[in-house]
Amino acid sequence: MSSAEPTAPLPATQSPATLPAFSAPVVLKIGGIVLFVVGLVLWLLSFAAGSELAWSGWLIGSWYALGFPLFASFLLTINALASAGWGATLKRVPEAMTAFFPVAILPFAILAIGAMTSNLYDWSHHHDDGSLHAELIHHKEPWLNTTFWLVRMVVYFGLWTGFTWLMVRHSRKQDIDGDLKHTWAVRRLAAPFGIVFGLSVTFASIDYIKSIEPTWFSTMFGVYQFAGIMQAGFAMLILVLVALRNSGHLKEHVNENHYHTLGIWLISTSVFWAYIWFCQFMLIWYSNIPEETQHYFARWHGPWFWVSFLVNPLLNFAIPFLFLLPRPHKRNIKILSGVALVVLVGRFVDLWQFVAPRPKLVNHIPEPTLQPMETLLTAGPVIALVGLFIVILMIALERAPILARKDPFFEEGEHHHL
Amino acid sequence: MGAHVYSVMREPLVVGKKTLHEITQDVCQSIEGKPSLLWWLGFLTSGAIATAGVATMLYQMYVGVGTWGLNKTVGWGFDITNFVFWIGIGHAGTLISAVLFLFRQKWRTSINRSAEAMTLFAVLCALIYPTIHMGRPWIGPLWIAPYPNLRGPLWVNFRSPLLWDVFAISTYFTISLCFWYIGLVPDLATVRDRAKHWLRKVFYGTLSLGWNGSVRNWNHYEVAYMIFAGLSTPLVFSVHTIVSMDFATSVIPGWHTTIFPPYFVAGAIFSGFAMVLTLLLIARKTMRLEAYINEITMDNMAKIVLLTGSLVGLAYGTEFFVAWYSGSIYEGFAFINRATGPFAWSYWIMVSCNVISPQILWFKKLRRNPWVLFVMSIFVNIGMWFERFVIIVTSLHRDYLPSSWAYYTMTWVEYAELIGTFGIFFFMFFVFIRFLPGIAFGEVKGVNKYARHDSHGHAHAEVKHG
Repeated sequence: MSSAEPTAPLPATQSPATLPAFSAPVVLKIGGIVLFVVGLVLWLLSFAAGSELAWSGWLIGSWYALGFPLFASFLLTINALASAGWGATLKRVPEAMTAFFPVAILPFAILAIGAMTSNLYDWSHHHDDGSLHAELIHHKEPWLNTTFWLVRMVVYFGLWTGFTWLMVRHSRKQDIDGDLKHTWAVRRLAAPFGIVFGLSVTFASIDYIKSIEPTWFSTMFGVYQFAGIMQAGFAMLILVLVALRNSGHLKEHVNENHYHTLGIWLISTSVFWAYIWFCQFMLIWYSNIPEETQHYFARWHGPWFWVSFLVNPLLNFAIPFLFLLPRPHKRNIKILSGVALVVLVGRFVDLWQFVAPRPKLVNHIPEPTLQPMETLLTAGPVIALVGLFIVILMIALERAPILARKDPFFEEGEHHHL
Repeated sequence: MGAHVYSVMREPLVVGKKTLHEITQDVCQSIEGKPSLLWWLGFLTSGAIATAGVATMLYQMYVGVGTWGLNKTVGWGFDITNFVFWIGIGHAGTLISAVLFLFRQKWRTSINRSAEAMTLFAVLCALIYPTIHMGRPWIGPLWIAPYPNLRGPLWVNFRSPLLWDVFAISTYFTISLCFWYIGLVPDLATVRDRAKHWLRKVFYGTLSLGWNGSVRNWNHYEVAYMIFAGLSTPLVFSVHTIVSMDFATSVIPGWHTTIFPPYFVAGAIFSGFAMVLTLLLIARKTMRLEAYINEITMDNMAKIVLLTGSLVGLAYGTEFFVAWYSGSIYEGFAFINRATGPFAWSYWIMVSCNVISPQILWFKKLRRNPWVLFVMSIFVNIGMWFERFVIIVTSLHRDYLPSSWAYYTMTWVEYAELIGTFGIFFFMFFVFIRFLPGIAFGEVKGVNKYARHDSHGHAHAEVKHG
């Protein structure tokens, strides 16, 4: 490469010692801690309404926060495999997001306590009373049993942490030696990780979320969770970048063209989520097979209807779609971050309406045991774990220069324009 | 718009240093010179096969749909399999022209024209099957109007996905045709300007709609192109989503499953790219287009085949797992029967072609080898045809009532019609590459300087959109 070209505004030969060390904005760290504490208090308060509700909340929060490192690992993977140049200047943020994987083991370990001690998962304290319900759960025992569930958890987290740790390590080594071999190494890791990701997200979404209603099934479920994870992930990435920008970081290297690209991703993932959400519902509604309609039936009547079929698509589809359609809106940081905030609330609503109603069969009809207003405290763990995520993200960001200047795509990423 | 900076990781998209004139020359030679012997051979062979296919269809219309091997249990067979297969083939064209455009994938420029043409021909081939299945296709245009009969107005069922298909596919075809044609206009004007014979001048002059290459022209062109790309992108999804709903809205185990929409879309792109590879690897050799359809193009196409193939594999796995997980004995039976029943042969052809054969694409050397890719693309074509066959036939042949279980034996009419549509497809493609520029050279010129790390330093070519 003719690196001595006058068009290169930043010489790629700068040594890492002269690179400004990144110190994360204190306000974000403190903000994260405050959220964590407030959320935790809300969660503890929710125990007053019963342990089942409290553990539902913890499940929502754990899965919600796990979505961010999952998103980040997938973004790094596709950007590496597709040779995307635009992401090179901001890749330190998704890289730091993956540092949450080893930390997220903690909330999931706590979730395991809930799974074993409460009625969170029907299948974990299964007793055969001769009913069809019990018979169905018995059929699933080879998959849905506490031991195997825990084993799978260890395997998932092991794979996620291992792969992302190796990818990030190569990226940081490149800061020092600028060797292209690290870019190739990341690609070689990213390709198998794509398969690991596809399988693990499919099964993890069954294990943690779908098995809340163990007699219900849908082959689309893994894709549905994947869509939500990607959508909320882009929203979080946008907000983190804007927060860093507001404290004076990444102002030039992540400009309106990068926000435009992220805006395109946010609107596309929102449309994709709506596509998957609608198809899953429509096919089940149309065929009207009782084994499948049970899930939607419980949410079709009563107040949950408004949450599941109005607020959910409004926040996750209508608002991002309509607001981000015009080109100038995607380049406007205020509008973009406003929509991102809406999407993050939408992601909670999507999980909340899935986990919190806890339908039970009453005279063979699935009915929610809890109504929306009774379950608002399930937002507590989401707030707490988002706070924890932000603190870990800031700590991780400080462990490497904020700009990966020796990434072979860095210069191209700086000049990215749409 | 600033200057373009290319990473060292980028490779030039056009092999060798071509001048803009050479690019025009390379592409236009196939439509300006005398056609080669190879072209005549392909044209006449495919024409003959197409004729035989059409003759068989006329025979089937005269004698009746009873000439097919369908029976009461297996009411859908080759007809719908072929229909879904051809619709799927078309998807790669729209993906390349619209989705890859929105993703700013410049390597698409050398393949989008042929891929879009292929889309149109494939949709036309697909259209044949529902038409000839009607028995009395001459009243086909009245599909969506009251059907003539003695009992008063008989309207189509608007709640049926089969009818949604009519709307989805006709929209898709219309938009794809306009998109393709808009892209052709600047190139047609170049061909017009080069024409010597008055007939060519009139022919290409009419088609090029008075294009004069002004900034104003290009401005409108680029806006229109972007709008069509935006409109076509949801169509890539909607068409095969609705095709999948032909099955998924039913209550038949093996048909009704919620993953069908994205799974069918991924499968369609998978099969479409395989067909693009099959066609373009032939075109590249016979028309000397190695500089444009080069290692990078092949590598990228192979990666998309590997990606979509893996998505299809994930869907197969998910379906199988959930068939067990659901605890529904019917679901469970449908899938065990697929893998071990009387049609197990078709299931294992599908798995080996679709899941096992693309695994060779993990190796860069093989992704860039045209012979390896060609053979693999044929395997995927076969596998994806069998995928539809497996879904349709194995789910039907053993229904809820064991006394009605039946086997489906295809007749010569069905085989002849299937082979016949391949004839029609290739015939149209041969006509296309003879009369219209097979590569969007106007767009290729825009990426000619892409990633040239040569003695002039960074290439600062303004890469044109598209």
